[in-house]
Amino acid sequence: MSQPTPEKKTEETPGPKYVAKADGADPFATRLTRELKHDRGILACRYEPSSRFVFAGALDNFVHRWDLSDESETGKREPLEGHESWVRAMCLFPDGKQLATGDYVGRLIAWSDIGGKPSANFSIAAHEGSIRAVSVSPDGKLIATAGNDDMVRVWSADKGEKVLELAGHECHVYNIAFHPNGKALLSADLKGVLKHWEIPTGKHVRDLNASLLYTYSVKYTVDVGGIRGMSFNADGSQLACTGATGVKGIAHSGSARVLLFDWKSGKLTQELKPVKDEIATAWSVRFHPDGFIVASGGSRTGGFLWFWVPEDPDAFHMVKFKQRAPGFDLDLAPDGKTLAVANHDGAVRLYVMEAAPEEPAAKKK
Amino acid sequence: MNRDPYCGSDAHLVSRRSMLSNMLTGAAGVGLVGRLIHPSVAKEIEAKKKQVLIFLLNGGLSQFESFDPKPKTDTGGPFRSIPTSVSGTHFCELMPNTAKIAHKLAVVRSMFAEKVPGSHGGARDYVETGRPPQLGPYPLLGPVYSKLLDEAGELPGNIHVAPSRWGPRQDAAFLGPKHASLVLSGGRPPLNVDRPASIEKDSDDARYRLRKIADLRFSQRRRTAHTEAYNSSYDQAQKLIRRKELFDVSQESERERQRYGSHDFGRHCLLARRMLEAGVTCVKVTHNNYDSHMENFNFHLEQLGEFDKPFATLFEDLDERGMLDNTLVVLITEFGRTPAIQPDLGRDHWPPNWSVVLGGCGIQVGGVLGATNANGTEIADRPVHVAEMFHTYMQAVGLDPTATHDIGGNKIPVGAPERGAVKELLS
Repeated sequence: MSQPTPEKKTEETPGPKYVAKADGADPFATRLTRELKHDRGILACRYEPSSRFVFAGALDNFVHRWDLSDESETGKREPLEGHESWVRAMCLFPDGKQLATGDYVGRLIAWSDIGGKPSANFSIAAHEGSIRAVSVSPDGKLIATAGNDDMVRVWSADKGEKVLELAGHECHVYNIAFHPNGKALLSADLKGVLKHWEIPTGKHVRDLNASLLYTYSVKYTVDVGGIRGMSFNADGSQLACTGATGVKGIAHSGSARVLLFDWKSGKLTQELKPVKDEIATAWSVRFHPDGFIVASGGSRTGGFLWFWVPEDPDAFHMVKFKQRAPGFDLDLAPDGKTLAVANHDGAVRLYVMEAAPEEPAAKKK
Repeated sequence: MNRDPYCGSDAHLVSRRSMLSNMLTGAAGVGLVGRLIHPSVAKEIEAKKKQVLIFLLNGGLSQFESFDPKPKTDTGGPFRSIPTSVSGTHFCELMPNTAKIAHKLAVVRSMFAEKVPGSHGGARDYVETGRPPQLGPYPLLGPVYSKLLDEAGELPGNIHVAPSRWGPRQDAAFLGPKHASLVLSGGRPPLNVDRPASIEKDSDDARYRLRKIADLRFSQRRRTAHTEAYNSSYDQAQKLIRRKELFDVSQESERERQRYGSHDFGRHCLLARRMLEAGVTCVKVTHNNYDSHMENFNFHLEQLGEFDKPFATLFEDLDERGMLDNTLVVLITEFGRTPAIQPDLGRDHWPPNWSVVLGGCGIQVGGVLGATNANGTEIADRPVHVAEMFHTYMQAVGLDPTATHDIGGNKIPVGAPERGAVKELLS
């Protein structure tokens, strides 16, 4: 078991401690290994399966591809043109060779040959207003999008033809994810309503309730919150939704939360809390194959990675970023040990959950 | 004994607040059947006097997400700009309905003020008085119009349709509580507009007459700001009771209500139309809230999605009724928002430059005055100070901003004397 080597600060809470598996990822050893710099804030990031490339969406109108084999300090970045606004929605195809991206003005692009010479297989106006999220079905045949027109749409992945038009949300749809079995699609909105749709019929099956992540601010007369991140575990038995609770208005964030649902019953089973209930929003979440859950988030006061085991509502570990920049998105590298984090301050940062190799001992004279 | 009728005491404020916003039932008793409002009647009223409609976008509207978009720049945000009805002028895509009436508006993209207070209240006062609040207090626009334009008709001269939780305040400064805004919190009518069932009309009328006699005797010997405030409040309360139907938007057809939208702001705009039609001199409608320190883009999407259509609808309705010839429309906000996008995707307060919009009476419309640089970080052309705008708001309705208020023998300039109106904006 390696010793904690935090980036800045490590805090542990009482309760069950996570014990890293032999040769597994060690959250306590999380350390920054590389910064992929850009002059605009980064909103989304995804690893390409070979781990040679990292794709990102930023506060500009491009999809950016960093070549990690380039050993320059900032990495070699190649912008891909085609979008008309910021790119926040991003999902890899199961074959690892294609990528679906969506922007703030509703354009959906399916990129092919992403490990070679990426090009747009198709580019369509998919929504009126922002595409908030995109998901590709486990068989790679469907792309689902969620948008500010309160709609969920499903497209053929090869031609971009509309397959399903799913109406029912009564506010902006913030997130979307295919269930790992491919027979269900889950969409989530600003007010914390999760809708379960049957695939391929598009029949509405049920609603799940994540309204803990939503607030109506009487003072500011606005709806605040929403389901910012969403992820299934590998076998699809659990669903994690992220956001914040207790948001008072539009000036300050609330307290970061990750809600766990039992997929079969649809019931909320756990409300995961950060170490000190930091003022923050949890923006993104992943189930790690080793059994823990990791989320990124933050606010203007700072950015964080939080780690939980599903059985314990209190985080067992936290990494506070040196930079005051929330982690808007994170992705797990195929090695299971590296996290890519999209930071507002214009960098994709790579964190390795593994102790640094020991320096060779200095020879004694 | 204070005999200055305009001493500025908080007591004036309290007395007026309690009576006009809660409509003391003791003042009730005169005929409760009001006239229904009809545009033809309104036209007659409008032909006689100037009116003003103020939209306050509270919290600080982002100029980038509204009237001064900078798409595809480092500061511009994710939204696109769209063409407007004025060739070459673009607004942010969050304002599609307002873009269609751009030829009836004048946009100022180079508003500024120096030493703007950090507080929203202070900055709002600065914008509405043209003077730094630390030099005040000075009366806001509504009270000034009430004082200088109102002809003491059947209705208060200055009504503020405000969001819920907004209460009355002493916004008339030295003009006295008579001109302070009657605040309709949440767009609701003043409380207790109905005479209690236990009091017969005749006896209530008798009570009112008795009170008037007592007031008269008292004020002949001891005229003070207190007695004046009480008297004007009672009188105004009675006027409101006579016109209580004015506050009832449900009297509008379903179609009309749908045109304005089912949300509070739509209802408030329809209420404002009814009041202007009925002859209220100055109506202010506040839309809450634009103070988007975090997630500026989400919140402007939400707020402007609510604002855009009712604003354009009301403007068009006034135009169709021929009321814009005599009605000045002003869209203000206390400051802009930062070009820099903050770590949680917010924009902070930004007084170095922001946008305001005017239309209607006395305004040269169909153009843009002033400009900011490519990414909106500074004014590039024709800076316009908030004090100049105050002068302009006055002059547009035929008032002389260089005149003075005569307050107990003291002469106080209507507008900040060191500034003048913006000639380019006046028709």
